[in-house]
Amino acid sequence: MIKVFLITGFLGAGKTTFLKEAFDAFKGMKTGAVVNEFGDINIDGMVLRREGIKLAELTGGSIFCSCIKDKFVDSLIEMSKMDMDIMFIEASGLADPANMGEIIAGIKHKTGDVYDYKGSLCIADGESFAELSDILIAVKTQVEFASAVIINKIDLIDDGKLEKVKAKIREINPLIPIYGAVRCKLDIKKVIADMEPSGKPPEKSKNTPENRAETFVVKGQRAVGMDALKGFIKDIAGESYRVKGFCITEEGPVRISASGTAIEFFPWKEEIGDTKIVVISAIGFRMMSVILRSIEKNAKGIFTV
Amino acid sequence: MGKELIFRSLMHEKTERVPWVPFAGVHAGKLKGYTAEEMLKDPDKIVTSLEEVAKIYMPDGMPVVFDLQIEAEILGCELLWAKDNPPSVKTHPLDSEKSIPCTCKFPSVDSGRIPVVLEAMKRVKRSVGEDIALYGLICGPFTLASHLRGSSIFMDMVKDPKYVKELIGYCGQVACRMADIYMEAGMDVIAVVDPLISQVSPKHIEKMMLETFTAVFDYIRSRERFSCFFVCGNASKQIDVMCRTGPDGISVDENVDLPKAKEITDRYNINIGGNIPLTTTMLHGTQQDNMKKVMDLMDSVSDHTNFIISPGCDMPYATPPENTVACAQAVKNPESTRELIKNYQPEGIIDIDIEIPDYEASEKVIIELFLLDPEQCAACTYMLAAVEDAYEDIKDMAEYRVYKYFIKEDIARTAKMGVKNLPSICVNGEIKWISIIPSREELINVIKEYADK
Repeated sequence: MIKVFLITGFLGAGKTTFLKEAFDAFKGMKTGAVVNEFGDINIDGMVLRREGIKLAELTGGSIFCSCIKDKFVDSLIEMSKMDMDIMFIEASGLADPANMGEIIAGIKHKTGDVYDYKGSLCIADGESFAELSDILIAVKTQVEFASAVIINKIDLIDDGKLEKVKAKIREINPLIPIYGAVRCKLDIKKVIADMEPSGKPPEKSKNTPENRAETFVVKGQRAVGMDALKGFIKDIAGESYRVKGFCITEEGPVRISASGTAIEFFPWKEEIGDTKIVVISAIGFRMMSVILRSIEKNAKGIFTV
Repeated sequence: MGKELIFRSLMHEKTERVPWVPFAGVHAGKLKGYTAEEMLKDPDKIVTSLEEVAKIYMPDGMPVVFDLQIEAEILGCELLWAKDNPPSVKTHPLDSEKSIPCTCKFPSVDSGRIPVVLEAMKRVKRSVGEDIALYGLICGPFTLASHLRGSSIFMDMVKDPKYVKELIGYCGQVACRMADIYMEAGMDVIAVVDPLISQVSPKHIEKMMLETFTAVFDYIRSRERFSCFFVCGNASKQIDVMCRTGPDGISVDENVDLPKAKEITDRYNINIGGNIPLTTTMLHGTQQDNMKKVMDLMDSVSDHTNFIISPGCDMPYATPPENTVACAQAVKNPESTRELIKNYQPEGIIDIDIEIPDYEASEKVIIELFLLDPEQCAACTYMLAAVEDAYEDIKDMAEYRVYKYFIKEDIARTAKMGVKNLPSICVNGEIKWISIIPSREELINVIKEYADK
């Protein structure tokens, strides 16, 4: 049987980082993953692709939303035929996982008894969880239906804030095991060893198309200066939930990852083709104007939306 | 070259004469004997019709298809087709469900009637696009939101502005997709046509729409094309906030005092186009009426930079071609036209005897709707819908009558009643709502007040 774990967490909380860590932890075992992104371009897929890992990539909506749920089910059926010990499903940041167990059960007649659903693991962003869980339904539901929570980025918060985040999590899901981590570094094998699906009865997922955030893709074919790229991202990051992607710079390819005002750039060794930066807006459609102004200021003639 | 003239005018440069953009939508089909439906569904017919427009009206710029229902149809609205009008929206997919449609429904090159439009655009571009600036018309975000949600949107604006803002944001994304598709097909100017904007107070526009419209115009500019913002109805109060959305040009109809509006657009260095009266002049007037109107219009504006002459909106299907030719003649040869109309006295078509109802004697309150065309003008459609929706609750105490401004008797009645702006609603002979669509509650309350009297 294939043990299946659903990985949830808001945009930028560290789901992809967790998967990278998990792939390392399970080196030698047959591992696979389904990655799901909100926008039309799958940045996480590019980050995760590596030898020996079976990857299915779904874009353009949440896997729990009716608009791509059919594709999600198809890929689950497809993956069930592969030789795997363990499979992770990385949900998009705004996914509401309330009916994951039901989906697995519903396709049993097509997949046979190969999937052993072990529940969902939620990655909570230590810096922003307390505030976001009050505003966004999905963030709360992700904890509600989880079997374990990892509070990530604990190096960026003090003890008081950490306690506040824990209290918030307990308020939503009183008995859930809580772990702390920096960059998702922890004993992943131990975390998931004891996981069982949460006893909560499944609900209709609230992932109707309406709780989608506007996403924009910034593209470019020519190299941009590193300072210009930094200026561009800095101007837009504060107004977005998440900025991620790859960019051709004068110093070579760079991977970008920003959640809120926490911005990181990593040199990237592999071929990336053109520049593709996905921006998930926190301010609605006005983001279009914010991005265009930032392009005008920092990368005129190089980037387009 | 005409196209050059439009470009320079939209770049706010001085031009040797005022550019001319006839909005021949389904009227173009009439020139070749096609009904509106035949034309709008067949690229061959669109192309031959527009080639005829290019030939006889000598435009500097022209729209390729004037149909604000293309996006609505793709997003699930059922349409009602007509012979002499673009289709109108019959059903609203969100009327009983306050939600935001999925982005998977965004239009693409294969959606709905877009393949028809694209083929026509590409062929018209090849045949006349060298000399004439081509306008790709997209449905404005607010009008599209109203098509999706129906007349409830006016109540939502009061009770749930957050939802309205989100829905308009969604429609703004649709607008950007459409703009993209049309720019790809070679359109020089993207016109965001939002007739309903005149029905919303500037304060509400600022709160719920300004950001989205700005984003759409920013987007078009980032693709290095021109943009225009078309509105219908009395948008005098909205011109300022429309300028703040940042289009290259604005186009208004006869309800707006153009010289006054131009003072505002000039402050923002934005082009303004308009506003030959559609029915009184173009449809029912004589050739001389048309020449006179265009000359008066040009004379009313001292600075001809940032200025385009065009009909107030989409021309009526049955506009006599000679009237449009007369307009073209006046714009292109103002001096010789001045000679032609030197001794002209307008006849006036409002000299028809009209009986005004005896409101005092009437048992029921009389609601009178003075509309342009309830099938074509979106504001008129929603104003009529507002009365129809509430009618069940007031039918024991009131009755309603609809007047259409393309019927001569109704034009005369509009004048006799002193109704200056359309659409408007009168109750027992008193003008109650001008260009503003009342909510159900508001309407019922007013009728009750009159009934109690």
